[in-house]
Parts: sequence; C-alpha cells; structure tokens
Amino acid sequence: MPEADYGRRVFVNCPFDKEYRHLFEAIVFAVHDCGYVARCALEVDDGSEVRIEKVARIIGDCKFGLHDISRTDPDVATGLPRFNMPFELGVFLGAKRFGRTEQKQKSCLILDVEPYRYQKFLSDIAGQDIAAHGGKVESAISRVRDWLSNAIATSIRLPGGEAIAARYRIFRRELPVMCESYSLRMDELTFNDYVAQLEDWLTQNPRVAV
Amino acid sequence: MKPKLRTIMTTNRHTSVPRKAMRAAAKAVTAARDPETDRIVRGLASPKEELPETARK
Repeated sequence: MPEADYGRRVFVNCPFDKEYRHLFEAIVFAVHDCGYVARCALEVDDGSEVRIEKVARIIGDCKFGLHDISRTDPDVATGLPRFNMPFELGVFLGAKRFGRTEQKQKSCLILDVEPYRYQKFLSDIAGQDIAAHGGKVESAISRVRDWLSNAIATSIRLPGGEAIAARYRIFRRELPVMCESYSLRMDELTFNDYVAQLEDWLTQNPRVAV
Repeated sequence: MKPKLRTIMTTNRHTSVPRKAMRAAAKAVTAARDPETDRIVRGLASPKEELPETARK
C-alpha cells in the first residue's frame, strides 16, 4: 500500500468534543475518501511529548490544513472560550509564511458556521476565503471535497460531495457492526482506531470507474 | 477511456484493536450488504436517504 507523503497529508484542526464529533468524523471520512490522510493531535498519546511540539511536528508534516474556528462559545465547565483552534491556525499560517520551500506550498481551508461571522472575532484573517458548513455534515463534506479537488490533477476524477456523503452514510450504518465484531462501542474508538477502520473499509470498497 | 480514480491511502497506526480484525470486519459488512446499497458504495447508483441519528446534528 502507498504511504502518504507531504502532499497527501491534511492537518485537521477541529474541536474534539462530543458535540462536534459528528462533523469531525465526517470531515475525516471526506479527507480519506478524496485520497488524502488526516492527521491531528489525537493520533499520538504520548504524555512525555509537549503538546505544542506535537502539534508543530504534525503541522510541519502536512501540506494541507483544515481549520474549523466555529467553536467560539465559552466552555461549559470554565465559562471561558477555547483558543486552541485559532492558535493552531496561526502556527499553520506562520509555517507557510516563514517556512522553507515545502512549507510555502501549504494550503488551508478555514471553516466556520456562517460565512462572515469570523470578521467579528478574528479580523486578522479578513480577506481570506472562509467556507461555511452551517453545522451540517453534508455541507462540511462538500466544502472539504471542493477544497481538495483544487490540488488534484484534472485527469483524476474525484466524486462529488453528495456521492461522498452517500458513502459516508453507509459507512456510519456499518460502523457499529464492525465495532461489535471486536467488542468495542463506537464511542470507545480512538482516533487511530476510527481512521484505521475507515481506511480498511475504503480499501474494501473501492469505487468503480465508469 | 475510463477516468482515473484517486488511490486510497492507508497508514500504519497504533490501534487498540488488531488491524487484522478491522480488515475482517470491513470484509464482513461488505459481504452482508444488499446489492442496491453496494451499488451506491461503488458509485454506480445515486441514493436519496437520511443520515442515521448518530451521525447528524
């Protein structure tokens, strides 16, 4: 099997909480169904590695970065907003701005719930294209697909957002059955488990070129 | 001429379940699927259906 190189890796910078999980998993599915590999801070669980080092290392490994800055509400437990997503977007843009040749090729997709809302809380990135997903799975899948399609040679056919969403619906329906076969609940899957199962499902179910 | 499709990438990850079991699970659900669903998965038919409750908001 081919190993993903720099040009096929996508850094996924999203909230990891339960409320966002349905969007996160759909985005990761879309990335892989488009032939890319999703990377994120959840993939390594090494307490000895400082978090920012881990994030910086993964950002350096990825040509693409997907940043969802929609989580602006205060945290229920602390009453304070979380700044990790905008911070990691800043690290990504910094790598693109100040990095060497390979890093300068970086491309990013910034997602929010509404198209122009970010101008009120992150005006430094005004002028950049922000895609809105409206909190909907199908919309998020289409945004990811359209963005990644720009980087693919025109000789390669990438299915449309609706076709990817259709495959995702079936994958979601079959995921609990797959989990049950090895005695795990879906909410017990780690990020690595989810991606590995997703990769194996996609490999088992290739599209037919017609 | 048939169009080229994108190669699906696979990775070596540290999983909590043996990869062999995951491959077998994917194989089993594929084999158990009805033909119409399988056609949708392969991109040979277009669906019109809702997301399961666990996957939507």
